Amino acid sequence: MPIDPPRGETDRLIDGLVADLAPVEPRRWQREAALIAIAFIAESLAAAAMVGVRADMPIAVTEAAFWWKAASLVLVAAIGSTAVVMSLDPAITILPRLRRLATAAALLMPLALAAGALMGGGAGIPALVARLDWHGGIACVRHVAATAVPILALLVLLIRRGAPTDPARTAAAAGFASAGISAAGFVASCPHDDPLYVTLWYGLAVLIVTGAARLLLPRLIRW
Amino acid sequence: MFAAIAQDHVSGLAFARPRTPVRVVTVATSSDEAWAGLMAAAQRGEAAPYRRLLAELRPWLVRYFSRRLPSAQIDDAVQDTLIAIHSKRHTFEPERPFGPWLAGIARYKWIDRLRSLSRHAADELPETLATGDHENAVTSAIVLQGLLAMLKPAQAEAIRLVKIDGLSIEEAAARTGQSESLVKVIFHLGLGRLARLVEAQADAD
Repeated sequence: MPIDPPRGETDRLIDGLVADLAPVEPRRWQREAALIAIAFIAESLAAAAMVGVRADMPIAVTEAAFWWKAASLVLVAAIGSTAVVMSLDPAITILPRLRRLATAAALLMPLALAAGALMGGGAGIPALVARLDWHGGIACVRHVAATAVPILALLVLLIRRGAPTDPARTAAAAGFASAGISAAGFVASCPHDDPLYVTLWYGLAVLIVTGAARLLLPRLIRW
Repeated sequence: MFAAIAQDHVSGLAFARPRTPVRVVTVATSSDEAWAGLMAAAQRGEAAPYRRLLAELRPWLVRYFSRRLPSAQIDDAVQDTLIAIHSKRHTFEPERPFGPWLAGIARYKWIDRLRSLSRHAADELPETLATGDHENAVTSAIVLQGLLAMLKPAQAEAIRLVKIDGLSIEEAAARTGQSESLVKVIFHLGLGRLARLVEAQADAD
């Protein structure tokens, strides 16, 4: 096998590429963002249909903890989705900067857990265990992880149409976004607003989905 | 000739400070606008502007990769990148500059090449000897040389001897006084690290 290709190979390649030219529609990030927003709405409706809206919804909307939960999860979804859409443009290299954000968030997690444990009623180990309600927690993690899968599939389709130049980070961002979208869509169905519960179980779900996406997606989105 | 104006400024000094490499790849403004216009026409399916675009991108890419890869890899990298530009042409948004889009794709394919060099290093070794003229490669792969400076000395030496100077593993082993299997391992580790270094550079941008 010769190391140097025969002369003219690149010329023939260019001929072939020109012959293969067909009109294409330039990508628009607005369209991708709209598609993700629609997926979020569909996910919320599906959660309401499948699990039902929580019974105490009228009371929950008057409480700060509910809105804190909703805002945090929407923020996760928004940051992740923005990162994914931006990463599809080869000209943009913003993902490395997001790593600092991710590190900061990871460092804040234990702090948030500690704050959550101190805040709210009930001290002592039994009270904490009761607040964590691990049966409900596992169910929440399972729901978020399962409903993140269709969102992740949609994101993979979007990503394959784009040109991500950092597959590992795009994959992690897609996992983060899909978990955020799935969790935010679940906000009106899950009856738990306790910051301790939310930080631990939703945080765990986001971590699991992000990690799985980081491991599995890169081979699907290379080009 | 727009391609003649196209510049690929690479700061050689950047590597004097390995922790904060500054890598600026620019396309001269006049060719950037012309290339954006040609690509927009190509997106509408016009063959003549597309052919002109590819013909002008080719020397830019040859230049880009000749600073970053051993000479035997340049043609393949240029072809890979042309194919990538073709299959991802819809991701160029006509109202935005063309240069960063092009540079992003070229860099992605560069990392790809370094990766595959590292993966297939063992299979390619016996043939490296046959590539002949390496005088050029040594002086032109400036960025590659800069990156080698960031590796551990033994790794850099192994890569320099085998990939750039074109020695065989046996010769490199004789030159460095190490066993062949050790040179092979060092060479392999070095190439893998090289690919990761290039990827990590974006962090410092």
